Amino acid sequence: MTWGAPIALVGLALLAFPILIHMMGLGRATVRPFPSLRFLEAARLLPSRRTRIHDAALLALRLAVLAVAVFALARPSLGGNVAIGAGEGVVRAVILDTSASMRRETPSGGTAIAAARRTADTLVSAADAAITVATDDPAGAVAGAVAWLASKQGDRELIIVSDFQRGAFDDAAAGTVPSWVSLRGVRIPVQGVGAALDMRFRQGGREVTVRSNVAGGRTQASWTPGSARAVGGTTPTGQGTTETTTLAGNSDGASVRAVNEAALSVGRPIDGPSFFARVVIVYPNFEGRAALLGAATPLSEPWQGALIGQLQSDSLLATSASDAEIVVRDSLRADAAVAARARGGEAVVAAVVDGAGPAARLVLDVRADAGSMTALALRAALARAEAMAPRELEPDVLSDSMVATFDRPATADAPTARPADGAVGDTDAPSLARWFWVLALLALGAEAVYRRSLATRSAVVEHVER
Amino acid sequence: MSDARESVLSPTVVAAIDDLELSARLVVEGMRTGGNRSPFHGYSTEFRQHRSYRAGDDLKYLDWKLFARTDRLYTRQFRETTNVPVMIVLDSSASMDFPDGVSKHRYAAIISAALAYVASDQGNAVGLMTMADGALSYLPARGGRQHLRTIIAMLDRLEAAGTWNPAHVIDRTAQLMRRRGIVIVISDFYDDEDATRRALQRVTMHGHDVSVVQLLSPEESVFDEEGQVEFVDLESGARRLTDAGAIAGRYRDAMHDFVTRTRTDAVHAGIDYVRLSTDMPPERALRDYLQRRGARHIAGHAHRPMSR
Repeated sequence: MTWGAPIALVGLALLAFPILIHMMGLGRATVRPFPSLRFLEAARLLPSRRTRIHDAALLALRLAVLAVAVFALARPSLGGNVAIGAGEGVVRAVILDTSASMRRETPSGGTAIAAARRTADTLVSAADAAITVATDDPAGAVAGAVAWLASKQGDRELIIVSDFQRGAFDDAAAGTVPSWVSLRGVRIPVQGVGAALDMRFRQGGREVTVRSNVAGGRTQASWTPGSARAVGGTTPTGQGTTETTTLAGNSDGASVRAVNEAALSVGRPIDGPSFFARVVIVYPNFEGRAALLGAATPLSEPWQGALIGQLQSDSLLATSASDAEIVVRDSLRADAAVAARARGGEAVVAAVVDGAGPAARLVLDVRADAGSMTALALRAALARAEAMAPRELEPDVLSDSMVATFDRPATADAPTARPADGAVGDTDAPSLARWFWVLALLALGAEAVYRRSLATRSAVVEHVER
Repeated sequence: MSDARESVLSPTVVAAIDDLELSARLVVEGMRTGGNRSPFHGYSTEFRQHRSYRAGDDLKYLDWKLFARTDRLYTRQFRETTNVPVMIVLDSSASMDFPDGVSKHRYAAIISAALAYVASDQGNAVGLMTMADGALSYLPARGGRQHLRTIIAMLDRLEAAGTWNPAHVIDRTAQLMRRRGIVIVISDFYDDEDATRRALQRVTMHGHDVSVVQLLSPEESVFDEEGQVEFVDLESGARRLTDAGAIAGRYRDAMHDFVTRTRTDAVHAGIDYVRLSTDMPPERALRDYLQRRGARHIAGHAHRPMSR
């Protein structure tokens, strides 16, 4: 049973009135003169004990009329969305910065990313409901985190755990956080702030080194091209933030190599963080495809969703998938995430997860040919997803006072939680209110009949006494 | 004093005597068998100087020892000191008209009369201040048996009615006392706690020696009511319906706090505090009070001479 208007249940307090009236009607109080009522003040609570409730049946009927009417006002319905109203308390979304700058050491040793994860775990465990969004773009993750908070009830908090590298999160990003969400920044201190930052990454077939430093209040970057180096389309490829494995049929070898060569001209950092996103691309001709997909599970970790989100927003992948020629048409898991769709709405790239825990791999089931444009666009989109953002070259971090300006409590009243997707809203569930009203009327009728019968009975007694 | 003696003078017996003067004397006599020191110590006379004997001087004041040493006749001269005035401030509001039987009002009247008796006996000037129906009634502090009779007659006529304004009464008492003296306030102290406390402090600061006698009945402090009781305020007539059994605990706590607070406030202001209950034998109550006063009086005068 769920309530469309749970606030109406406050009306149950009305039940106190009939009880009080019944209690008052019972017995005469002894009248006693007393020097001062001063210390009887605390006793203004009404009689707390009663040995006998006057006409318990009549009282019960009256209470039933009121209670049922109040329930009817609260718009009861069967089944429906239990998520609403649940999870009261502190609801937290923790945005965990996993960008390259977080690979720096903290003053106490260890990488900033490890310290940030520990902080995030503490914050999450202290909340009644929480989510950790691990992202290399904290500002970009705000919208998703706020959307998640909107689906929950309670004191909603958004916490950014980051080194606050310049450009990672700023006033503009803080401004996008609605006023009903309290915002807090937790800084992970890092060493080497402001020192020159070296980063190697792959650009086309070359390795490029970028050194950035702060001079005269400006950040300057110098680019040094390295020696040419072959970029393999072999398995696995790259040392970036994503470890991508391609699973294809024996006949597809040439196509896969060509696709990888063509796609991997996007710049990507070489020294990846300790955290790897393992991605497996499966083409239709791979022999173990049916077994792999059969054993797969739905998406379970934030990074998987984040990656799918990036793929969905990749315009090249979307365009090529819309015209894709779908070669396998086996039924799709109901809980699979779709990264790209054909014009007709069929899934072209579907995502599931193979394995669990740290060894979990995101399996991208490509339903088009290994040498197709879609395969190329997917490979390129994956590469872009892990490409280094220019802000990663910023060696400086925001000052503590600047981070402190992000902190603010929630000022506006929170909107009521939106039902989660797929949940049944109160408009969908059949309302039981009318049946409650019928019940209330019946109880009212019964009360009237019973009252009349009581009156007759006392009249008879009176008559006999006379 | 033996317990048997105390039991003879139970509050009911004393209150049953119609003649207030007689009951007051009874109480005082009962108390005196204990052999107490007087609390209102007189300084009747004090040696001042010698002067040469002149014809006509009373021979009893001749200093014979000095005559033996010096062979001259000297007369001893004394300075006469007066005893301190004692003002009794009595609460006669309607809240004192409780309980039935020995009411706080009657008990307070007996105690006041006995106090007046003792003080007058010691040669002190005694006065009385009460407030009945909003009007002050005042008898200035004077000595003498005739004045004592007037006071006792007034106490006898007094009826507990209406409300009283303790702060006003206490302040006015202090204003009307021309000399520093002893002020004894007898009340249940239900009304206007803060104002009363401040008024008492003011009076103390003017140099008066203040005592408060908080008089409560066992019915108020024990409170063993049961069931549904509608209490009617004796002063305001306000009514309140309560489940007495359920609130008894909280009432007793609040009452205990109130009594403790009154005592603490008094002690902090350097005021003598005595709590009396209407079920105490009045002569014992009086003796307890006077004993304490006596101790305080002696200690007080060691460093603070009261009269000139």
